[in-house]
Amino acid sequence: MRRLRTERGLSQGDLATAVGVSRQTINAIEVGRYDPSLGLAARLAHYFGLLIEEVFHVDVD
Amino acid sequence: MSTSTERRLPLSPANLVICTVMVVVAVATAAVGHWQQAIVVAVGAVATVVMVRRARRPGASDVERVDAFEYRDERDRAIARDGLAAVGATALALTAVEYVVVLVMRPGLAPWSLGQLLALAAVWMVANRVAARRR
Repeated sequence: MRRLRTERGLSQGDLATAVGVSRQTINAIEVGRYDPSLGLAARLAHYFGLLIEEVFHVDVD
Repeated sequence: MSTSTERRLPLSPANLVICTVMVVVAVATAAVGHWQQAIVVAVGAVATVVMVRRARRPGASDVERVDAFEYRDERDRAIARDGLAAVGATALALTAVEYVVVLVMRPGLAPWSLGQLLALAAVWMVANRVAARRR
């Protein structure tokens, strides 16, 4: 997600404002410390114009 | 969840209630002549207002928001849930110890302590069932 954000020239604060969360939450997601809810994951994916599975990698094993 | 209307208020409704109760307690304590305790509670109320105001700044940290019950998003609420769960577990353990101590030292007060322990256990069981139904 960090790559998608930086490719668009967005700061963590910009993305946080766009999807309605705090900057700390965006940072925690980017460093893998926090797994977003399905709703937030969908909002982030929608913001980038992608599918959830294109933004987030899920280990099924 | 805070709404835009709440954001315009100096305090969230929950914190408004907490601070109002603290001011009422401070006034009532002063009215019965316990000035020192009244001052302590009044200072607590002012400190709470300052803490909440800091937590509502755009650049406030997550810990500042959670400490002040001013949650901004789902992660703040998740942090608060973990923190309050730790408080609950500690309260249950401390109350169990308190009951044993009171039973030995002041048996006359043991029913009150037992009541507190049973109340906490009842809240825990109800909270578990509510949470299980929601998830």
